[in-house]
Amino acid sequence: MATGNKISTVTLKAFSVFEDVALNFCPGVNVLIGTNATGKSHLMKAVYSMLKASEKSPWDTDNEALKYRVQLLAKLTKVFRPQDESVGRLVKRTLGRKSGSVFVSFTRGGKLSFNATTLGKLTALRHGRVVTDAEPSLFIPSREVLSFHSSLIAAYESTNIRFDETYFDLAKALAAPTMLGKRANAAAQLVSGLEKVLGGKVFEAKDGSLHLRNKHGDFEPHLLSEGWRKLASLCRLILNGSLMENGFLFWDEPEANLNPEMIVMVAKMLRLLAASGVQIFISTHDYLLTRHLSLAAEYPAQMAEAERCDIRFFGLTSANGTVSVIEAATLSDLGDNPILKEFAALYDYEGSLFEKSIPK
Amino acid sequence: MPKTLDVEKQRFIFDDEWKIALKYDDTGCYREGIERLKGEIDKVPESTRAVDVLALHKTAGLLMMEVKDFRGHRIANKSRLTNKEIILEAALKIRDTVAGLVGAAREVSGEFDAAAIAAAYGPGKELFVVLWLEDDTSVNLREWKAQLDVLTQELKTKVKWLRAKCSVVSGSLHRLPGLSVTNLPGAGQS
Repeated sequence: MATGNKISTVTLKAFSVFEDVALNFCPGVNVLIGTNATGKSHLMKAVYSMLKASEKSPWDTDNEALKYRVQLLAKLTKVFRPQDESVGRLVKRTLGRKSGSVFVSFTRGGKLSFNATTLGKLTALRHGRVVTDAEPSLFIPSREVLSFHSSLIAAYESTNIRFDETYFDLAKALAAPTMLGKRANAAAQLVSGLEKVLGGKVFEAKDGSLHLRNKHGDFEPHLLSEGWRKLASLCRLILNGSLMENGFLFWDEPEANLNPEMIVMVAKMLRLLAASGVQIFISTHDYLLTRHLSLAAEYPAQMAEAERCDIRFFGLTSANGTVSVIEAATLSDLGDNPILKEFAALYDYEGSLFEKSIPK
Repeated sequence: MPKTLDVEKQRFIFDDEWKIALKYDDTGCYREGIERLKGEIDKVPESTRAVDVLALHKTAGLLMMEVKDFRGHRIANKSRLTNKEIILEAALKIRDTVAGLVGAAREVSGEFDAAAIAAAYGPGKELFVVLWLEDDTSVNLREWKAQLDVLTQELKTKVKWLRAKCSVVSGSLHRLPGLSVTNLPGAGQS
C-alpha cells in the first residue's frame, strides 16, 4: 500500500447545491450516491480543480500563493465553464450577495481552500506542501474520450471551444506514452484482468490514435463499443502512468455504457487501483457496482490481498433546495439510498401487480 | 371455513376465498404416489420433490407455494442463497408437483379434489408460484426487497415453461389476498 498524501476531509460551504457539509473520505474508494442534481459531480470537479491547480503550481517558486490562485481560477472556469467565466456562478444560489468556499484537508497535514464571491472574486489558500506532480489527479467524465482524444487536443489548443476541461485533461493523459521498466511491469499486471475482458491489448497506431489488438485483428476506437472504449482507456491510463501510486482518480458514473460483466470488472479495477495507492472518488447510480463494492467492504478478509482497500459510501440527498450527506461503511448502512429505493419500489410494483391478479 | 396450515413453524390461514388449501407434501396421494419414484441412474441418486402448500382460489387459480425459513442459521445457508440453488430447488419442486398432480387427478381420492386442481392448469387459468423466504441476514428492508426482486426474476426464468406468475416474498411483504400468517413458537430459531 502506498503512503502518499490522501484527502481526509472536504468541506463545502454555500458552494453549488451545498449549504454546509463535510465529507470524511477514506484513502481507498469513496462512493458518492445520490439522485441527479445532488452535487456529486460538482463536488468532485471542485476538488479535482484544486488538486490540478496545486499540481501546476510548484511549491518552491516565488509568489507561489499567487500562482496557485491564478491556476485555480483558470481551472475552475475551464472545468465548470460558468457564464462570463465568473466563479461567482458557483456560489449557492440565494438572494443577495454571498460567498462560497471549499476546504480540502489531507492526511499528512496541509490544506487547500478557496472562497468565491457572487461578484466573481476568488481567494485561494494553500497551506503546506500538499500534492506534487508525482501525485497526479485524473478526472474521467461519464462519456468516453478514447475515440477522439487526439482531435480534441488539437481543437482545444487551437480554438476557443467551451468544452469542460476534464475532457481535455483526459485526452492529454491518454496521449502520454506508455511507461518502461519496473513500473511498467507492475502496471501490466494491474491491467491483465482488463485485457482479458477486452480479449487483447491497447496500442498506439501510427496516426496517434489508440487501437485495440485482439485475435480478430486491429480495431480503431470508432469500431469499438463505448463500453470497450472506456475499459481500453483505463488500460492506457494505467500503462502510461496517468493512474499511479499516490495519485487521485475522480470518475463520474463509471457504469455509463458498460454491460454488467464490465461493471464487475470495473469494481475489481477500482479496488486494485485503490490497493495500489490511488485514492478514488466515484459518483454512481449503479446497483451492481455499488453492491460489489459494498460486498468488498463487508468481507475484506475474503477479498484477494491485492484488492483489499478501504471503501466508504456517501449518500447525498436533496431537501428544500439544500443537500445533506450521510457517510457509511457499507451500502446497507446508508439509510437513504436512492438506487436501492428504486429497486425496492420495483419489487413493490411487481408485488402490487401480482396481488391484482387474485381477486379479494 | 378458514383453512389452517402449519409449515416451518409458521401458521398460514387461507380464508374462504380459497376453496382448497393443503400441505401437499404431507398427502397420501404424494407420499404413496409420485414420491415413490426414486432410485439411481448410473449411481446418481434421483428422487421426487414437492412444494409445501397447494391452494386453489375460487376464481383466480392455483397457488403452489414453497416455504423456506433460514432465520437463525445464516452461515449454513448463505452460500445456497448466493448461488441461487434455492431457486432451482423450488423450481424442481414445482416441476415434480405438477407431474404428481396430473397423476393424482386420474383417480378419485377422499383427500382433496385433485381433478379441480388439475383443471386449473387449463388455458386461460392463472397459476401462481410463490417462494416464501424468511431470512434474517438483510440489514434493511430496501436491501431485502432488492434481493427478493432479483430472486423473483430468477424464479421466473426457471418456471417459464409453466407460464405462471411468480413472486418471492417474506412475512410482512406477501401480497396474497385472503392469507394471514403468524409465527408459531420457536419460529426463527435454529
